[in-house]
Amino acid sequence: MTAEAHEPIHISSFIVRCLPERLQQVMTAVEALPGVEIHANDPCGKFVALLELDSEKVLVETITTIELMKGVVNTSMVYHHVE
Amino acid sequence: MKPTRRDFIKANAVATATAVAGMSVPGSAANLVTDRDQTELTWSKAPCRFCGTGCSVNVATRDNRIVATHGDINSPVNKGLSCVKGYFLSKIMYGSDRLTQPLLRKTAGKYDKNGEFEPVSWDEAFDIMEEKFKKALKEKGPEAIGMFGSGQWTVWEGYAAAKLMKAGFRSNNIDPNARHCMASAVGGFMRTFGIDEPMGCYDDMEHADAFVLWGSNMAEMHPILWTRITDRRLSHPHVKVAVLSTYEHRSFELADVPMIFTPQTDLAILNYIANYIIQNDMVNKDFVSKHVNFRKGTEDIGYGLRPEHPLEQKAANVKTAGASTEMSFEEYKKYVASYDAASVSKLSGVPENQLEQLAKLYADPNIKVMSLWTMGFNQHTRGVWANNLVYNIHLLTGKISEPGNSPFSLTGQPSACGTAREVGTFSHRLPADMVVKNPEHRKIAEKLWKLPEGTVPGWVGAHAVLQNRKLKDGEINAYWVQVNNNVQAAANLNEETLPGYRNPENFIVVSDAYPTVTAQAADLILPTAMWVEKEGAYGNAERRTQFWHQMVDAPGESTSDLWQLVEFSKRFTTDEVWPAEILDASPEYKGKTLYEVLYRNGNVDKYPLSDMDERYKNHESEDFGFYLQKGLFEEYAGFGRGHAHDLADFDTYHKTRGLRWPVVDGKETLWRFKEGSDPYAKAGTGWDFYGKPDGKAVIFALPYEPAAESPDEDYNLWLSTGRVMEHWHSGSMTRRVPELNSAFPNALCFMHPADAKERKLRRGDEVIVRSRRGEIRTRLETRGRNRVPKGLVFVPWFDASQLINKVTLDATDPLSKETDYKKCAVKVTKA
Amino acid sequence: MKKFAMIFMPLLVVATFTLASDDIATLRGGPINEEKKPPKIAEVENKDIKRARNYPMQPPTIPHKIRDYRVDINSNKCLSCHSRKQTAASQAPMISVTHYMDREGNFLADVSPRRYFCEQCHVVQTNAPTLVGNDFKDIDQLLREAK
Repeated sequence: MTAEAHEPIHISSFIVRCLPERLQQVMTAVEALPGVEIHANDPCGKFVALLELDSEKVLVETITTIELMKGVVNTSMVYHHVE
Repeated sequence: MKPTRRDFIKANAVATATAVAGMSVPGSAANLVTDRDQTELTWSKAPCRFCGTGCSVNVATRDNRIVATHGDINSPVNKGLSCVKGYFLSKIMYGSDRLTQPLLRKTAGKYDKNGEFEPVSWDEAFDIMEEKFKKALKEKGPEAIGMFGSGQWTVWEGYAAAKLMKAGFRSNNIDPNARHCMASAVGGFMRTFGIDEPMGCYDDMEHADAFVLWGSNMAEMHPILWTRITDRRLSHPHVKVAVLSTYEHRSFELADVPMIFTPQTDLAILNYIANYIIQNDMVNKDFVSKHVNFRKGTEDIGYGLRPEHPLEQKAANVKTAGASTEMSFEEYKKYVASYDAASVSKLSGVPENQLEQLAKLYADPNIKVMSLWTMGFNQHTRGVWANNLVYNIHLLTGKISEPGNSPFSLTGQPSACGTAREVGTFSHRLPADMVVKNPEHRKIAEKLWKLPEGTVPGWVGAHAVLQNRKLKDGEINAYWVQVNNNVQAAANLNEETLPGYRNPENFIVVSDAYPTVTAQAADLILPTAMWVEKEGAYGNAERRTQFWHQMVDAPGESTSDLWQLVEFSKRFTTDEVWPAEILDASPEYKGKTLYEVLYRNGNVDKYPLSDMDERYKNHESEDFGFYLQKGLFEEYAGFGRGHAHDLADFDTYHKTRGLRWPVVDGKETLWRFKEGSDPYAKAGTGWDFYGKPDGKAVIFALPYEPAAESPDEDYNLWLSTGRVMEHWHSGSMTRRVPELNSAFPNALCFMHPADAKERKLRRGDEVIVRSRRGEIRTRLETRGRNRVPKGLVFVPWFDASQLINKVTLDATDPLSKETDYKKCAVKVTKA
Repeated sequence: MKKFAMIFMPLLVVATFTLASDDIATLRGGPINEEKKPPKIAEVENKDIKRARNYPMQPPTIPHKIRDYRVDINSNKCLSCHSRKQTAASQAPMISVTHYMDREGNFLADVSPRRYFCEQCHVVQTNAPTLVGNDFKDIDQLLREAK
């Protein structure tokens, strides 16, 4: 771990809730963001997003971008790991 | 951050979020499964697949696969423990090169002994087998076919095979690989006691004050029994452990009296102890006068080599090897008097004080002593003698058949006792210790088998070593090998085994789960089911018969040995394989298939499918339409019940963790021959050695005689072969388990550092181990778990890429016909 | 040219026949009557990294070298790091509680003698290559596949 310590890594996962009819468009838009992967999803309007970014600033910006997307109701961070 | 760590954290992140969100993630499980429906496993008991200890394990299955095994806490044998091999039982059937289809050597679509293996259907496989077996029977008769079976056959597989060969094809050329391990022990039992198998049991280990290991390496080869001895020794400091071997191995870690002796001199040491007991007036005179006869055994009996061999020509009494004459105690006393401390010490290399320490363990009437031996005594050109001689010292002192006083012959394979010996799958045997040479015994077999008089042949068939010689000489031409790897296991591969298998006159069938070197040397390979892929039963070293159910399916088209034997029997009719005299005398047997007369005889097909436990599959029974295993077992048990070989009924064994026979009125027998413990020991006798007509055991006067091939100027080292704990036998199962393979990947030549230096060799060098018969290339090891003395090297035989049996000699004990794998002469040079 | 090709083909085919059937014994990898160069003596893995277990009851494999570690009636080298008394100092994993139980399942004050010889259950691993793959699936894998 020590060799890579000066390059921080932020790995975090979120549950994103959105309107069911907007699910596909939201997922596409979110997946297009750098450092973001989509994992599970549910037609009722929720999905899991995995973020892998190199600074807290970028992390906050990315989350804000997602929250402001049309159809997104709410985001909740479940897991955050920094090294 | 390292990539693997990154992936790990990412996976965790996803899994946690998914779980919180109440969604399922394809391709990754939540980090904890608590749902009972999911975590519940089906557990079922089975004896371990490996050694003769016969531990019981619980096997967990899920979705037709084994996911775990665990030492059975309810089994008195191991009480929850396994050894490292036992802990990996759940992986042994999942080697990715598992055989799934019959394979036949073909060229241009037809059978060709030099062709390439091609997949064929079972029908085609049986077609060619039928053709070849019928040809051999027609042209030369029953002496031209052979079967080499196994102490790893289940009880009913061995029984079905014995019936097929002896009663169906009327050939006694059936022998098990147990000939290589326990034949000398059997010879010892029969000569001394008139009946086979140990009189004590594992309970002796919790009672003994002294343990003597005669050439056995229990720490690696019977690990769970070793834990019981360790427990006894370390919990009770007065207990002593003596370990004797031709080299130092892991069992020496517990030794109070460690003894290294020159190979073969165990015979002299045994006689020394007898002499010591007599000279120091420690004979249990009361016991000896009531329960013992003395006999002088024939000497100079040869080495079981081919008759033309100079050693056989030189030996005086090859033909009368088994004979003996009456003698008195005084004559016996005189006989052993020459085995004094000084001369035995000189011969064996063991210091006199150690010899005396050992002798005292036997002589002192207050010390309960347990003797334990396996291959050191049995794989020995005088193996039967060694067995007789160790019984001598227990009989002189009366230390037998009571808790802690126990000459205990350890068994190597999981069912050498239960199948090979008790069922009698030997070239000279019938079930329940009966022999083919005895017309009364044959009549009993014919009666129980519901066959016409004269069906069972009275000629002694070819034993293991002789089978290989006859294959080479073209006398056996159709041959079926089941559950063993004899091309790797038999001695003198280059001169005997391989030429026999590849002799163009011979058709070799091999049934195995994996492609072994034996399969490679064969003409037809049959894919075979393993262990819990079929319903089975094994009998361990302490006479405990243990059952198991089929728990998972065998892969592809593989079938069990049992199914193959019974199905094959449909291809033959009595008209084709029985002589006209028998059929004319009993015309009701004309025109019937062997399947009908052997397996649909009213006994074997007696039990309906509804008798089966509905929780378990049973492919053989489902295929044939009746509870095959139960029928075979109950017919077989009829041989022994009432004759001191009593087995309980079939259904009981599925419920218990095994029972030790004789089982009379539901009660198992712990100590045989002892009044009160053994229902067959007559009241008032104290000890009743009822295997002998007069109830007395026999002390044999037998000498030290040298090995067949000792080191000389050219081949100046002893070669001893054996095993290591991580691998079972030829490694066909254990080397396919990554953890076991990794733990001990290849064979090595263990050599003393001074011997290495003398030969300008260093640890790790590639060396050639060569004898007059062949050579292998291996790496030199001068440290590690085996510390050999100068003048001896040790090579284990588990490695298919280093076939040490190219180097060994096919000399046997002339009485037991068991090969001596521990003594021949080699030289080791740099490659 | 064409004739030559036709003669050549069967010979080629025969050659591959012999080769293919002379190495079906996967653990040998060649004809029985030939001797190959034996692999070097494998090195014991010494990274002190815990390895995955196939199921909960499997004894862990030893992640370090154990050359000259004596375990006999006089002393037990393994316990000098792995016993309950020593783990705080050594940071080595403590032998599991099962090692303190006797045959009947009762707890003892110290390590049960029946568990004394560690190497009957625990083995090292080496850098030797795996010769044959193994398709064992642990319970987690099976549960995943079932979903």
